[in-house]
Amino acid sequence: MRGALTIARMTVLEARRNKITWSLLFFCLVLVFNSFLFQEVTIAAHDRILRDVGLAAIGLFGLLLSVFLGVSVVSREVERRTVYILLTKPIGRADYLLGKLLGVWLTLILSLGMMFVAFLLESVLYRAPIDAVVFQCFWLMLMEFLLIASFSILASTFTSSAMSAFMSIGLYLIGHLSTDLQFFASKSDSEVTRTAGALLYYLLPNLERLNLKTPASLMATVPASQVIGATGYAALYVAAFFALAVALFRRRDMK
Amino acid sequence: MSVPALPFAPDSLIVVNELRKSFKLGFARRRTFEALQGISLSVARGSATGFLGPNGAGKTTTIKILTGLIFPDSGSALVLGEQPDQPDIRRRIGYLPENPSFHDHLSGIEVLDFTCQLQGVPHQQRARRIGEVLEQVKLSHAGNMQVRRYSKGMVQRLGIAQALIHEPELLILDEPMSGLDPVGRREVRDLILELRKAGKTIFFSTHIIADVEDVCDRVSILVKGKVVRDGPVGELLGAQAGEMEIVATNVPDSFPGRTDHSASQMPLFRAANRDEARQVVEKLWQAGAQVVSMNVRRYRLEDVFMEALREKGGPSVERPAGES
Repeated sequence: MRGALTIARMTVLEARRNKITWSLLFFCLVLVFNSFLFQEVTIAAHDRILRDVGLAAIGLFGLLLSVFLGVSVVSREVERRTVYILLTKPIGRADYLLGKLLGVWLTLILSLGMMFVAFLLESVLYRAPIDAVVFQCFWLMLMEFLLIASFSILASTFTSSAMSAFMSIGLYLIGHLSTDLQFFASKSDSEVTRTAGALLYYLLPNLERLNLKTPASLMATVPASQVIGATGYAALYVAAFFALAVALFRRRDMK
Repeated sequence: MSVPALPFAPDSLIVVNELRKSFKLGFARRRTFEALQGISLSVARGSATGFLGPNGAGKTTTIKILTGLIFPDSGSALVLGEQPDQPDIRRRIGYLPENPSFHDHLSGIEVLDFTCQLQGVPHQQRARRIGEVLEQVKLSHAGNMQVRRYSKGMVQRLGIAQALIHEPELLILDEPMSGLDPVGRREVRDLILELRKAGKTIFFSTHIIADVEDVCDRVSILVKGKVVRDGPVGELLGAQAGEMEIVATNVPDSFPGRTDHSASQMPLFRAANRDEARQVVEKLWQAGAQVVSMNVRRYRLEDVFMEALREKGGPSVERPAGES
């Protein structure tokens, strides 16, 4: 476990010094603070515009960063051969992956946390109401991106960084559309299409369960049990992705 | 992988037995390349063993198996008496990969500090050890510089530093002189000699013969995935001792057995022993030639290596610039 924590610290330090991380953060912070521009062009519901744009910016940043960090963990390390140095140290491959996962998560939590604080500051500045649902929405967004990062790490244990990024964005899109996909597939005459739709629906995570942007926008009340259930749902997928990543990585040849 | 019956010395730190490894090639992975075709070798405690072979012979594949980075198809490899994929034995091993690469945004000192943490070097000893190894590899001036600003030679030195930082008993070095200028190569060669004197066991691969000749007491020559020579350097050279070389001028073109002396381009004749040499000299005189010199042939590892390559029809050996 000590080895995993060292790898996690190294991953956070590397991400902190990477210009891409800071460029993404800067771009999205600008987007959050520019919410007032959108307010200028609307005649009503200023608060809602502020929340919509702010949370959407955090969502965009979270997706980009989780994919970028996730795929760089294994495939980029193999491509750049930095993995040779690390895997020949006294740590097991599962510990290495755990360390990388923790490092990516910590970077995501810190970066998204900074953006959320910026969003809260802006809300205070414009006297926009902040309700519990905003925090619940942010929490589940965090869970969603931890899940996406875990999948990126899984994909990067067996394919290239470009392919891992492609697959991760694919998971994000399918994950948000899986209910619709399953609905349309169930209406099909083809048994194959119906089965494929059902398989996708049950196998891949339904990311809409982690999406509270609409209730947050409308300041609707969301029961705590729903948030707890969605958190458990995300945790199950994270555990499954990590277990699969370890199984694939344990006997992989580092050519 | 079952533990083999060891035909090697019991104090061997590395024991490789009938190791085979193949890779699937091509988009459809239909072609198979046999990188290792049943190699066996051992590295005795306290020895410096050179793993010599042309590019593509299978040296790096063997070393990657010994460090647990890849897994063999069959056969066995034991390092310090354990399977190479056991993390605990790596505390006793220092490994330098071929063309090492580090996280660009970390400084040299940070790379070494993380290595210390992973290797379990006690916190209070870290700063001292980092200073010592940076001094050893002549990188003290660049410790705080980010690795992305390092030259190729500096990265290579940092690679050696991270292999030494935890004072391992076994060093596995893949092409340690690669990327270094002549001065750097000499310094690394001296460092390996120093480590050998300090009792470390060293196993290093190279395709540069002079490196092995200078620092190793034992050599394994690998050609096309097979060990073709293995043993103490002196023994391999001694097996061909006793040959004589005769250099002559004004030799008629029809005179048999002629080759050219590599330095002077004068006709050169070889004889298996002194009696045969005397007969060759007499024949040369009778043919009207003038004998310039007659010496015992000085065998070099290069001769052994080239002969092994010729036997296997392997590629020509790569030599460093300026090496005679």
